[in-house]
Amino acid sequence: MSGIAGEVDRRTAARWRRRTDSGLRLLAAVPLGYAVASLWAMALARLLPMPAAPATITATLIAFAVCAAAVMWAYAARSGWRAVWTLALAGGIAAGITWASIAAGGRL
Amino acid sequence: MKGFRQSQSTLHTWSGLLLGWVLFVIFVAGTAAYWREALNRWMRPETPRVERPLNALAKAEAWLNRRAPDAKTWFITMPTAEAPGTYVFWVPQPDPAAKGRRHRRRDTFALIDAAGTPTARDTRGGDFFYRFHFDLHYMPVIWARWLVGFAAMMMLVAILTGIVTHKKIFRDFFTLRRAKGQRSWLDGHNAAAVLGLPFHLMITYTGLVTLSAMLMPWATIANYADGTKMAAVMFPSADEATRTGTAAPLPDLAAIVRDGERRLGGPVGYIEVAEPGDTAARVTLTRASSISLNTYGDRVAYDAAGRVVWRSPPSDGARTTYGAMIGLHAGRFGDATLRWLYFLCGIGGTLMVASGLVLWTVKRRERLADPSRPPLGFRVVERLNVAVVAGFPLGCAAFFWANRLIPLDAPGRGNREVAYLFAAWGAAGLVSLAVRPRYGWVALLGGTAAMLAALVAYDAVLLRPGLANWIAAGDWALASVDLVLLALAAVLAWTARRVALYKPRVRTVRAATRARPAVLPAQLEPAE
Amino acid sequence: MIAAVLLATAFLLFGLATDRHHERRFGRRPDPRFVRRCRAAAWTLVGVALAAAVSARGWVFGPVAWAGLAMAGAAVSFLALNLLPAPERARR
Repeated sequence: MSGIAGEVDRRTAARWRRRTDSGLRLLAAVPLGYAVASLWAMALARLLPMPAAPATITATLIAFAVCAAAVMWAYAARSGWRAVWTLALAGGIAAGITWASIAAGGRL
Repeated sequence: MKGFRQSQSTLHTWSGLLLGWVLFVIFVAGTAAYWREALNRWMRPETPRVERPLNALAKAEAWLNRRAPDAKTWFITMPTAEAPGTYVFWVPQPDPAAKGRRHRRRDTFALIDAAGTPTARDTRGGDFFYRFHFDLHYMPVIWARWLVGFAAMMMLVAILTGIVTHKKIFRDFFTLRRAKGQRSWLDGHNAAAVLGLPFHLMITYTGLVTLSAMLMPWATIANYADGTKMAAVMFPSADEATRTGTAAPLPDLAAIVRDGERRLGGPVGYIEVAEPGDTAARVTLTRASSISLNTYGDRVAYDAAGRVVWRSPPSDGARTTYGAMIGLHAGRFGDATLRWLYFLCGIGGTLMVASGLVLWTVKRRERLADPSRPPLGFRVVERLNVAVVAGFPLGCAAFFWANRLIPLDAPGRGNREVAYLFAAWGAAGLVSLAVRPRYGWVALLGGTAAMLAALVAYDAVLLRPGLANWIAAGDWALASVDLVLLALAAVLAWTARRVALYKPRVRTVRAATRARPAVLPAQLEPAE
Repeated sequence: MIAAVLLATAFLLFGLATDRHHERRFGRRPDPRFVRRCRAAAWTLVGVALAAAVSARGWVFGPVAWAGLAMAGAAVSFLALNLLPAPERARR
């Protein structure tokens, strides 16, 4: 008896694990992916060694590639959690750079 | 866990499937939009051809002066032989009394034909397809553009993951296995995708760029506390003109345009007249985007007397790149050959999306545990495929028919034409939900084919001026529309016939006696 | 000039293909030297086509036209190779 019940429990648990993993990947791909792309757009706009207008344009053009890459990474990463924390970290770094750069002045 | 390729394959399927229907209509409308001006003329067959653009421009200016002599700004799109006339739009003087009332764009817009009168027929024309492919319809423009932008990003992901997933992309370049069910569909999907890969990558990426001001404003926000400064860099213009109140004769636009073409080194595309009829009037000319990849043409401004007062600064590398990307997407540069290539690539893209959607159902169907009782998700996808892939073209055919049949002077006929498109599409959707998918495909594809063929017949026989006149006058832009519609009708009819005749391969239990394909009767691959 | 580009590009893809998959037209698998020569010739044509396109339309529109014609040539070759009937020699 307990064997069958145990089997069902294991299968349910496995299904929830898969769902969580899928959910995390979706979270990583869409909101986080866009956020990472946007934050890196800001960071690049501040960092690129050119005047403000060309830097803004170049950063925007690059951002779309970053977004696509982030979405692909969200599914290529070994696990859903890994996808989430790596992207969060990437976004955080960009946010830090942007904040520091803006605090240092030079926003038109 | 799964390997990289496998994970990307899953991502490819889902990113493609979930937004495939949106992407299909975007591709259909966008591909049609390459013939925007031809359709603008074709849907206004009674409008005379623009033989002398400067002449038409002068007449349009005269009309504007009668209709809106004290407007704040006139916006004029330079007439060309390809267009039905001069598009004019004006912004009235700000009226404090009219603060509450919302200004309707339609009220201050007109299309002035070569004879100097507004065109008789109210229709959206080819511009409908152009607008639809990013603004969609029946929804706030911002929502539509976010949806389209999201779909475009998913398309980009689908293309990149498709490349990663496709194992033998070079070796299988020319592979087309026929009558092999899912594998044939896969080969077709791969062919449409890989053969046009440069185009698909370009159009998707540049499509995102065209919407980037809305989708990715963050770089601008990072660098500019005041967004208007960035706008001034992207769209430079002379200082605002302030009305003095002293009347002055209108600037001779035709003469100014002639001078402008010389200075700008190319045809003029757009003319802005600020404070017309005043001594402070200013005329700003923008070079047409038809001769350069960079869609941002140089600009030059003249005062009321026709003297140059301002020139746009030279564009830097980044702005030129950005403008070139938008130019690549719109494809307004280039001659007939390039336009046809764009059109064919667009068709390829449409086929790529459509075949991907069908491939999903074909693949799943072959794997169904119980073919007579497929799960709900599968049935929904199967019928949505019919509703969208076969239904939207039917709606477009209805749109064209409405253009031909609604009387010229009917009020609001422009909106009614569009309403017919969606009504027909809705009806097609109901048909696809009600009947089995196979009958749905045959009915809708066949119906569209019949409508398009009948439309060409109408143009040839009943329309005045009609197809015969166009061919006789050498007006190949208009004649080609009918020819392309006829070709589409033929393809759709052929496809419908293939679907109708298709007999699914009976799965033989005895694998040992696998007969050669040529022996099995009436073996036809599933068509679209 | 443009015609030359068209032909060159179409031809090239034709060549690239014939050696690879469509040996069913000639019987057996292709001889490796034939394959190499075919591909070399095809790539040369690609280069020539690009030169022709650039000389006809300049450095901006030339590559665009070249890319478009290459895709068209690929499509034409694909259709021709797959849809034109081939002599049924070897048992499939």
